[in-house]
Amino acid sequence: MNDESIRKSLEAIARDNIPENTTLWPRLAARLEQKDTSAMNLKWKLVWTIVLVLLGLSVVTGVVYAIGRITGYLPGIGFVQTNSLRVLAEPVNQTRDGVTVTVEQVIVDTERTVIVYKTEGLTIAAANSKGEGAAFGSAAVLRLPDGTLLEETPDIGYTGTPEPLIDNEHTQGGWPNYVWRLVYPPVPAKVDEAMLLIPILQTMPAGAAPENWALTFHLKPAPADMTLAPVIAFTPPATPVDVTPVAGATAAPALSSAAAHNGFTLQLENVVELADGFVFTGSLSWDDSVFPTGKGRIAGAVTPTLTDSNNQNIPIEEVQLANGSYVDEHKMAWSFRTNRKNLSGPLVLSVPAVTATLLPPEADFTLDLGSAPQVGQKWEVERDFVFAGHTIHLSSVQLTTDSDPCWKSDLVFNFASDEAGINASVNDAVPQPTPGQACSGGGGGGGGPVDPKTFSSSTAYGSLPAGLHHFTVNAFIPYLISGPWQVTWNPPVVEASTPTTAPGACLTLEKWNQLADENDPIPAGLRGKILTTVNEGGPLPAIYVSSLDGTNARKIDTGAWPSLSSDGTRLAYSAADGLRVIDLSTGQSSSLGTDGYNLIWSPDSTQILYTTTFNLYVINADGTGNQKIETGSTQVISSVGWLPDNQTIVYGAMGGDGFTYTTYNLPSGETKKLFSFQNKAGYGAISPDGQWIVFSDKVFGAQNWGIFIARLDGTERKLVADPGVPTAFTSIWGPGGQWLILNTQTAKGAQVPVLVNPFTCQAVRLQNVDAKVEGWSP
Amino acid sequence: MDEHDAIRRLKSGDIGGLECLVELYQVRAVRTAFLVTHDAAQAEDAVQDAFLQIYRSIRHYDQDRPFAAWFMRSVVNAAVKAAQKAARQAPARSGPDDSSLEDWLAAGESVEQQVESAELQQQVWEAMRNLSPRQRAAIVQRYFLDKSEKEIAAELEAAPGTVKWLLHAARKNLRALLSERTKK
Repeated sequence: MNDESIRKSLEAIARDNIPENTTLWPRLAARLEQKDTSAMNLKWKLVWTIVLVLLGLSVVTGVVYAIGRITGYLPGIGFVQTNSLRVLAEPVNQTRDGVTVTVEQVIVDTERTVIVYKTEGLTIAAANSKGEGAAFGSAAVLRLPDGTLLEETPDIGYTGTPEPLIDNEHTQGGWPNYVWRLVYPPVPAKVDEAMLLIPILQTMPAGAAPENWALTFHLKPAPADMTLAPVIAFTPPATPVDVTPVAGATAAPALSSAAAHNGFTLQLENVVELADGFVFTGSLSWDDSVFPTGKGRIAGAVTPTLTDSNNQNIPIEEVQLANGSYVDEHKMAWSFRTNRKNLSGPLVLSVPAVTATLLPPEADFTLDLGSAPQVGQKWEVERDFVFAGHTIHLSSVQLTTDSDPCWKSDLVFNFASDEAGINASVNDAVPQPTPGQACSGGGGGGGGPVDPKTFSSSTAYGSLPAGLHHFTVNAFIPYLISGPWQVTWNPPVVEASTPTTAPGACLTLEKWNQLADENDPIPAGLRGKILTTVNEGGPLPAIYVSSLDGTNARKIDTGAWPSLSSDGTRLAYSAADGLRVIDLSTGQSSSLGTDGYNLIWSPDSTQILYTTTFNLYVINADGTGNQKIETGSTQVISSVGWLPDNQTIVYGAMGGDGFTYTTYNLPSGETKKLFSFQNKAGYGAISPDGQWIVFSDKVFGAQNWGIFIARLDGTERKLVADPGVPTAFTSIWGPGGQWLILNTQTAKGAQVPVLVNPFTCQAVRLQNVDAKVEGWSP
Repeated sequence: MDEHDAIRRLKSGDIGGLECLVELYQVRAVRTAFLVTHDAAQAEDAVQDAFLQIYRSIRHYDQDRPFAAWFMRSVVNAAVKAAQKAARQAPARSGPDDSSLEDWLAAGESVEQQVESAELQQQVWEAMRNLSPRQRAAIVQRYFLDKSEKEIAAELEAAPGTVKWLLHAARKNLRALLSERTKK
């Protein structure tokens, strides 16, 4: 019996018991509905409570109170009112069994109490000690001196205003330690003491760490010099002006915080001025008239661009909102931020288009399959269906066998549409009985990878279907509502240096696309041996060694994390049975007697640095002297490289929102932190001369990571590959330390290694190598 | 709408994104959960719980990580939890017994030919039934979700032991069986 046999058995058991047409959505939607309704009730209760209290106050005092008037913003907290603002008198902490919980911030205004606390000393071992299925954390409550318990309020933003969350929740020090924000009703004005009760910490299962925390804190009036980020609020006009863009218009649009067009209204509601940028919040609303069929969905979130007075694009990033983006079924909230303030106004926030999916009413048809249809039989239907003005043509229906043993056959419906992206599903109104009790019908999806205007849908049967069948067709029509919707705002003049444009990357997406059509040879003088891996379908990739130009390729073995010794004579890798070293000239293979990942040879080819995710080790190449490196970290550790002295290793240690490169001297144990970066894997590579490090890091406003080089202290940082280039985390230095190989990948998954000189920006595609490059030695 | 769009929509609070993810993953997820719980209703409940968990925590999801792996791990966790809960409510047994799995692995020379047969499936089923939920989850992760031993070992590093050992033992026995068969 092999793995495939076990796999097949489990597949068969699962198929026999759980049918293909399992449908969870209705029950799941009901549970969500219940949750949302409950949350909505709480929202309304809260809103009504506030309204009634204020009405009561107005009756008693004769003063009309402003509801929800936002006067400032605090990162980590959110919107606040400065009126009667109180803050934490001093941080409070407790330490028990090595775990510390600290109440760091408390803000109380007339609307709510916001508490921020953090934990330290929690370990991954404790988090996992109760198994993967254990429940984590419990709700924290606030107890007032008179015994009143305040429970967390539903996350509704600031009295219903969409509230951007910045620095609110993060894993300070790395998971499972964390910083958490809690929102409660306001602590009454005359009460200046409260106790935060946390039965079980958020990332801990019951019984894994100290529990029943009780931290008493005190409140004091906000100091006069307390700094709040200013908030500029824009009042929505009663009737937004319908702004129809004029083709070719070059003049800047008139300043307006609202724009209506094609049934949608874009509204800028608030601008928060932070120390390092602006946060924009607003909404996009519409009515059902925007869908020609009367029913549809907005398919994508609002994705605006921000441009300055010179029409230069300004990078922005989406900001999480406290209460999510969907205000109701006809309104979405949005929030975006910049990372600088010295911007040349007026700024234009523009939504170019909105994508939607139309859901037209279903159509039906009948087809007589005859009394004894045969597998392979085809019925030429040649029938048109019209959905939302689009014609979907059903050309044929064919009876085929189903590869799933649960089903005897499939009816495959072959469609062509008049527009790419249209899809449809066909269902048999009365599925035929099937042999297994679990196999009770089937229906299905569509798709058409070759021609985007053709697609098929299939319906499965437990036996060969026969006779007259009644089918329903549901179509999904992509629908683009053209804009743009543009709102404008003039930022205050900031006294700062002239905005500087970030220097361009060596490898941009445009350049990368050009390389696909170029056949430039490998630059003169570049040679050596490269190590590549190829996924050949097995559980571990195949490892090859070849010349730099891809010739003389030789398969060595299958395994992961291969690493060539600096002299190119030996290969270390992680095989199915653990770490192995193989002599490339003799083929002699030896086990190192341990297992791990991310192997890196020392420059003198005598030792290997590797990680086991949470621990770092150095082992001699003959398997002796396995030494655990005391990094002092309980978080993910990534091996990065060696310095030329053969005595200093570099690793990446997870912490905060990313990793920090750190050096460790093996003889002395001395460590030195280099710099931090946001790269979820912590990888990097040290140049052979030990002067440079190549790494991937987050780029503000980009969806992907950019590839950078920098000195080991983080200075002289240079963008090598733009985040638009689809690069892998790992890049490889050449033996001379002047060239890199960047592993890039096409949308279809093809590996495209690219040679880049990060100092001259010369770039050449490695023409004959279609594998992931893992090493390069002389 | 593809998975990426669905996640983006869900992150922005659009429940339609969740519906799309449910469509994409429900069958695979319920089958996975079923292999752990051995009960279809429990499996569906567990997967619903996993989807609800996704709904609640999607804003913390890093879109650069593979969603399927993240979600299926959540499904396995929910299924293990459901199975453990059911086990607590069921009459006490003498505890997890790996012997039937060992018997199954050692069963024989002709199993290769029987692989599609109901008899073999029954043997697998019975062998699985006698494992603890955690051990079942390890088998499911390895053989149904195609996770490598390294992936499973990495996930369980903080709680090494039974499952890793079991998988190694299973592989060893499998190799021995295949070797014997080749000789014949």
